[in-house]
Amino acid sequence: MSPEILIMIAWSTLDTLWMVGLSGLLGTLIGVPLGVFLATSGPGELFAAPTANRLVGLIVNATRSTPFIILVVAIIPFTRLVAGTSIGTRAATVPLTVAAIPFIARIIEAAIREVDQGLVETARAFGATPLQIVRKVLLPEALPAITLALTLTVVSLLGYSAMVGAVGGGGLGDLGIRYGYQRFMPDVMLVVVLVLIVLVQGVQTFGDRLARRLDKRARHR
Amino acid sequence: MNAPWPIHAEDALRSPSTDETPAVTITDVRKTFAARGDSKEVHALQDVSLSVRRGTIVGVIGRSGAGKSTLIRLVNGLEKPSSGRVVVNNADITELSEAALRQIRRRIGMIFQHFNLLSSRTVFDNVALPLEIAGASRAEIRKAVAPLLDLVGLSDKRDRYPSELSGGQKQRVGIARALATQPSLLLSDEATSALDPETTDQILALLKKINSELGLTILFITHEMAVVKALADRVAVIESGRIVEEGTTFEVFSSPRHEVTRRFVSVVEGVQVPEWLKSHLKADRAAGASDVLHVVFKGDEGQKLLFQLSRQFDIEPRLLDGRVESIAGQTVGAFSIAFQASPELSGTIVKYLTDAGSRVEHLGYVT
Repeated sequence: MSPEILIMIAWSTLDTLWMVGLSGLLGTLIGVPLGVFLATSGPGELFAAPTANRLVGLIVNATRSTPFIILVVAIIPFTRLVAGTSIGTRAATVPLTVAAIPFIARIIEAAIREVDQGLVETARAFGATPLQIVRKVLLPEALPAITLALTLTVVSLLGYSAMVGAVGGGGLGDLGIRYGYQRFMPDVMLVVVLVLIVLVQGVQTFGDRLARRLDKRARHR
Repeated sequence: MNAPWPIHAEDALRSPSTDETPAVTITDVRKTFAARGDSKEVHALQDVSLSVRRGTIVGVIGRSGAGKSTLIRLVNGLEKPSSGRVVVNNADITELSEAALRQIRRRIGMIFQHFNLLSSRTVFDNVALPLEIAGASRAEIRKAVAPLLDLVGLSDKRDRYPSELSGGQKQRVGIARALATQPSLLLSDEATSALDPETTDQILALLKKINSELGLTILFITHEMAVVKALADRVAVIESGRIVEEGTTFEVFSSPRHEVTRRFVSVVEGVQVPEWLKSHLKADRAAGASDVLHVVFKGDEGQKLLFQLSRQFDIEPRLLDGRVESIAGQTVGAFSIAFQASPELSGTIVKYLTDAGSRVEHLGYVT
């Protein structure tokens, strides 16, 4: 393998990390509050707003049921509006973020719903406002589950980021398709796959360790 | 939004309040849960009235589903009554806005059956939670939490997580947390039901200590009569959403009126003639038969009754069963005896016992 190819692989890896990192971050910033809203706005809940809850739920479901590759193409006008272009890594972060938001929202919702309702009642009994309940009870108690959920998101985004390569998004997927597939360079394909495996392993191991450290429910020895 | 909470170390040990208005007054409260799906409308509470005097400990006893959880949640507004009034510390909480209600709640402590500690927080931070909610500063929190951990005997566990504690220790943390904002009222929701008997005794002793040392009013619900006996000054018995009996713990224990109460109060009712004797009991008096009496007495004087009988009437009563208990600091007991006497003497003895203030039941005769 020529040094040029190796440098390309290194740059593509950085591109992938940048895309996944940025879309993961933006997705978390928007997806977590959305997930909290979904988990707390049902009938009779903290921020009871059943109509808004159903509406947001509907949009989230619609986004999640659109295959990612279709979503990428379908929102090209929006991508162009936000990123100024529809090609390249900068453009690719737009559909990645749009896909990450509902994904994160749903798993955060599930993580928050796992928190013992008795704790919510306890905080209410001590005079906590709904916002205090979210900040002091729901989020801290769900933190280990949220960590695992975000790990899962990053792993999924790594997979999605390879897909945006197919439409000129840049990154490892793009490299794999253009060189590994279209130019018949199986060694490039192999390296791309290996780098992705290492990235996924790294992210998962880090997430697992962090979640375990944050989880105080088990006995520490 | 959160008013800072003034915390002073010298407040930690306050003298009992001298205010004579009740801490809690519940008047003609009904609570109906609307029908949902297949389930019918549920009348959780019907015409419930209850008053809790400041500085006292009041217990509400009932079986599961009797409505006691709903009742205690009315007091801090976690449940709203369908009709009726709930007045806590002179504020009608049925009329308050959610924001005003939150301020009231910050002056009411609550402990729970399953402790409800945050698993993500240390012991110290769990106790600090109500103070954080009330908007206390870090310095105030540090100053307030240490003496509370001292009070419940957990100073050495301050940096532990709940998962590292035993059930009894968790409930101690729960109690310290409930006292953090120096409430005048403590609500206890089956606080000892998940604990073993020995730990239960320790927690009850702690609650008793808090009541006498801090003058804290305690309203608790339980399904265990032993808890009422050990803790309560007054007790209300609840059944199917209604309070069927209410009085001082001693009154209710020594002369239960309602059938449900009797079932709970096995102390006195539990003293019966032994089974083997029951089958020998005859309704008619035969020659040489012995009278069998069941006697329930109150007070220390009652403990002497049996011996006074033999001295006064020259009989040798045979003790079949007996029990003496101390309830809320007063003595109550019961015994079953058999003795040989003429019908006249037997009548005199029954009158003697009744005049001494005991409840006497003539069960029949044995030969």
